[in-house]
Amino acid sequence: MSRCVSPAHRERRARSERAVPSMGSEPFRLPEAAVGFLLILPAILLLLSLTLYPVLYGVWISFFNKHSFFPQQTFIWLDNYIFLLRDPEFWASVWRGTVYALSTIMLQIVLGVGAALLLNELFPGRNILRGIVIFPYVVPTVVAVIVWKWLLNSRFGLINYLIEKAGLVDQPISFMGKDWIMVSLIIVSVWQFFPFVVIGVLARLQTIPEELYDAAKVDGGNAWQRFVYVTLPQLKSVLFVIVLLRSIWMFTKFDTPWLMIQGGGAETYIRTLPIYTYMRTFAYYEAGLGSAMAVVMFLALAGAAVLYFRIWRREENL
Amino acid sequence: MGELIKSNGGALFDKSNKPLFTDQKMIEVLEFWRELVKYAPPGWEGDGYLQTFQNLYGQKAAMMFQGYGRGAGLIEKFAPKEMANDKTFDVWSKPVGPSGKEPGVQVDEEPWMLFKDAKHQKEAIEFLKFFYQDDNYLEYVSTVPIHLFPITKSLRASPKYQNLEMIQRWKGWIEVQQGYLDKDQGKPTLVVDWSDMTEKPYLLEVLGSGIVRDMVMDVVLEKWEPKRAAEKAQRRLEDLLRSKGYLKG
Repeated sequence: MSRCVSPAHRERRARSERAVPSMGSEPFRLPEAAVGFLLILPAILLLLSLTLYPVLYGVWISFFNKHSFFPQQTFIWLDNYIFLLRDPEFWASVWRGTVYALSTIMLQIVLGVGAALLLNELFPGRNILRGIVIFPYVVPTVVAVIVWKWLLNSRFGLINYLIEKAGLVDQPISFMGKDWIMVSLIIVSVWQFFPFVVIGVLARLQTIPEELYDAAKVDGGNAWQRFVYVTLPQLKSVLFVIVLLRSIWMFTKFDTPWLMIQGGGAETYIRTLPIYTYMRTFAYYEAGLGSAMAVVMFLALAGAAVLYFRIWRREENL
Repeated sequence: MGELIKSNGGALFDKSNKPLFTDQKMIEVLEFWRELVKYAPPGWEGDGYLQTFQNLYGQKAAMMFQGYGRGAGLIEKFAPKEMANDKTFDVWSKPVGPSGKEPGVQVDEEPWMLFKDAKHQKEAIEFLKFFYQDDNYLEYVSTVPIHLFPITKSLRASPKYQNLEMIQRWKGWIEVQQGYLDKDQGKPTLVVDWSDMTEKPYLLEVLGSGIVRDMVMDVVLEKWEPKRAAEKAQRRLEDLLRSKGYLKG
């Protein structure tokens, strides 16, 4: 690339080059790679101290019988992991967590894609509705859960009042009871997190070239065919990321189930793996075992993510 | 559960910290739970402590099995004013089990901790002495509704305390509580004998683990036989106490 330089500037530069005395050797300069490394060093140190160290420390203490608050600890090799293999509560919590995660992800995707398709159409009040749809995602979890617990209350809740009034049930449904609490948790979670899907999918929908739909129409494709053969393939890459992120977040979700189970005997029925991990660490005060559970959770997620990447990237060429 | 096993003449752990959950006295307690739940409304298990009180003062339930002094505060706050008294919400005596002789009662504690490495320990002690002087403590007691029952005998006997409007309204409750304390039947959560306070430092872990609650739920919700639920709880508790070094072998 050439630059336009004035004659006066060229003259000044030549004079300054002549004025530099020859020292016999070049002045010391750090190699470019070293300068680059030094510049990113603070960020590396921050990452190592705030991310890698806690993770490695977590793995390390998973080999100990360690109280959560007292300093005493005993190295017990793989005993914590062996205990987990034989602990029915652990496997029950894995099962509950899987049911919760899979159901919520599926429903979030279906509802989120549906809402995004709707919000991508032109109709009066579309912008206002787009704002409202995002609302559940920005409401603090504690507020969302309190409101939902009130709505779902079996004796004073609005939902029971309405379905009883409509004659749909004779007796109020105990949404927080044994048979319904998982369903209630899934409903609350889907309501809370489907806007994330809406945002991602809607953004992608707005970038799909209109010509593709025009071509499909010319080929005689109806609305369903246009969705299946034009929209869905275009959404693949964004859905790939959304499913990955939401799976990780829902499988490790703690706050919503925890707030839902405060008090009440049906707690057991939504005791997912993150909840049980927390209980082991801060109620049983078994930091070693809690860490072992966190490590298992991490490995399971990492394994699932790798598998997901391999299958999808190969099949869909993403 | 502590008060029920006490009411049935049993204990939760023996001297060597071995759980006593498969003991016949515990089985009887679980049978009592199973019987009791027959009279609970559908979906009762979805209600926590506050919701259960809500059902009571919201006039959806006629009685609740277990409540404490702080419940008076909730009733005062949310029930219609004319109902907020011990004439409407009366207290019954605690049950005694088939193998027991006297009731056991769980009391709320008012713990203060002075850490041995803390700075200004003397000042902290002076503060507590000041706080518990009758006049100062009365201020606290009369402004904190959950704090129905003062821990000092002098304030309990004081006319200033006795004449508080709220205390007058809940006199029946006060008398029942006083009766339990006079007979030394009130103990903190899961404490069956006073020696547990020093000899069983793991009781809070037991409480927090939810093992005891799971055992009851296995019986009343999953319809397990009490013996099976008790055996499962016994195993889990043994694992817990062994991992902490309280139980050998």
